[in-house]
Amino acid sequence: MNHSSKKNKNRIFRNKARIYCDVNLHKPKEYWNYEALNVKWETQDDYEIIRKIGRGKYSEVFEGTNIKNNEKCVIKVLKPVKKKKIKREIKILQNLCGGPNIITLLDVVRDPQSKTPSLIFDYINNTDFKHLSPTLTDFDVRFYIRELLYALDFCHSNGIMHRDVKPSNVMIDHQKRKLYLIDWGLAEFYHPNQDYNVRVASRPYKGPELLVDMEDYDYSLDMWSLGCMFAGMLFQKDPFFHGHDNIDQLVKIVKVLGTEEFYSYLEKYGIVVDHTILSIIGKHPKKPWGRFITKENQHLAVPEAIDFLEKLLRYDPAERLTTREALDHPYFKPLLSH
Amino acid sequence: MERKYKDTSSEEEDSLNEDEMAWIPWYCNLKGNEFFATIDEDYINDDFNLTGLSSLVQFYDGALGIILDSDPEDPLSEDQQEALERSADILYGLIHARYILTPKGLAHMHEKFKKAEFGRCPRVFCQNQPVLPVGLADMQGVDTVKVYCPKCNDIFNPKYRRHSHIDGAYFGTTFPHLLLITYPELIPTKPPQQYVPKIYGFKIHKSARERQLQLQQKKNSSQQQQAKQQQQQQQQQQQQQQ
Repeated sequence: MNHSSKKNKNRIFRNKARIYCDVNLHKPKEYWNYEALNVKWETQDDYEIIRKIGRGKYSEVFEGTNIKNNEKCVIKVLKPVKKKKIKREIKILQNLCGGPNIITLLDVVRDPQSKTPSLIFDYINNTDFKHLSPTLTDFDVRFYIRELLYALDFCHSNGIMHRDVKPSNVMIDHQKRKLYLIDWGLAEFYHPNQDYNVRVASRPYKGPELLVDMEDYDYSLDMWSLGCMFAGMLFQKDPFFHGHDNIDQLVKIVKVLGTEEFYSYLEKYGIVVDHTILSIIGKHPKKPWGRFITKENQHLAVPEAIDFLEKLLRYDPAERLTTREALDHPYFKPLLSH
Repeated sequence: MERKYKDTSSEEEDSLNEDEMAWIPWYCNLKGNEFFATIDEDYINDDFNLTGLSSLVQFYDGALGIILDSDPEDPLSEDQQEALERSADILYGLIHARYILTPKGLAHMHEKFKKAEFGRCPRVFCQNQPVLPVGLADMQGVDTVKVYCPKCNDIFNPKYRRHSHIDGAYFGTTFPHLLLITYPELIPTKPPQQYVPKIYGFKIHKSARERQLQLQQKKNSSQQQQAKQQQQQQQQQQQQQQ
């Protein structure tokens, strides 16, 4: 596809997903060709709004109820965006529907007057992550990270990258010990050799590939975001990399992972980064993970956890653990009986 | 326009000059009094119709005299005159409340209603339905007059400020409903369209308000707890310092 853009002329080596690379090649075209999706809009009369629960760049979210069966639901009203993006989100939600820890799309409705589209989801009795996170035990963190990996492994194995993994997109019903990965608005089908928009994910969870304009990224982007979220939970510091802009975000990362591996990553793929950015980044040694351990987080930041984290937060997307490898990591061993 | 009975120097006969108006039509013509029907003098002249009013109105006789345009026997001071006029207003209103319930009074008010002299319903879906005056009490001095819309079955404050000081008892609680039962053809056949609030096309569920209140209370109580804890901490710190 298009990998002839100007910024790629120095690229000597292209990136490819290490697993699930050809999933979409083996699927029928209508599976991934979301632009051809014919959305069957239902009427919105069965759903009524109860309260506002959030808002994003692309949507406004309400708690609602299905007046036919009296069941609670979430109503996500989409702000005016390109039809293509709406179709992508719906198609992906339909493809993944029923998967482990994937939020269930119940209905797709539209206001006949304004044509405003809305997605109806299962309601999750979510505990706010900021409040929940500090109360989690070592076991809980392992448990929920594994649950999140189940969701990610399912979507990756179905040829889809989420591209916006972060705490606020992970709903946890702590009473039921259920986790759901939500907001598939930025999710995209993975096709090897396709270039993707690097303006995805929320800044603290953006992988280095997005920050250096490497457009041939893959599922492993989600593994970086997962790593950032995991680091935030382990060290009780979220967001773990807190940049004030995209360049500063990169600075925050190299100050922890060091510049040496950063430069070898750029070199491997032939990625050229602007001189002014390089001068801001400068030279930093790798910071040992042990430096982040404190009295408050030492019960979580155990050696297997650090080892697992270290294998997620790698500059080179190809070096990061895949979902399969991650699930086999010893960190999750204590959970096996559960 | 000068009120005729102020003309104490008049040496003319009891009967009115042709260019002079009787008190009742003059009174009902005043700006702000448009809701009132002109009561038949015959109705007022029948003592039976006024039973009990003498105990409700100060200077009853003088007030009645003003209404019926009979000149006072003794010349009055300005203060006395003013007090009488105030009483006349009240007495007229109380007689009015009774009069408009009579067949003649109802017919009279029916005419005014047909010309929408009491105004129209402000609700969009009532589509300019004419309204009727109504009181929320039959006792004078309780509340001011409201208007009743037969289409939406609700009451409103009168549109114009000048009607907002009129006592509701001058129309009473019964009047509009007696009128509609007397002239059933006036009852709007089609119930008004109900306005439905919507957010992006979604209706708002009936539990929404309750849910908001619950969450608000939860929020308030947790804030109070936090404030309490902070206070206790501060007190402890102060004690430690001492």
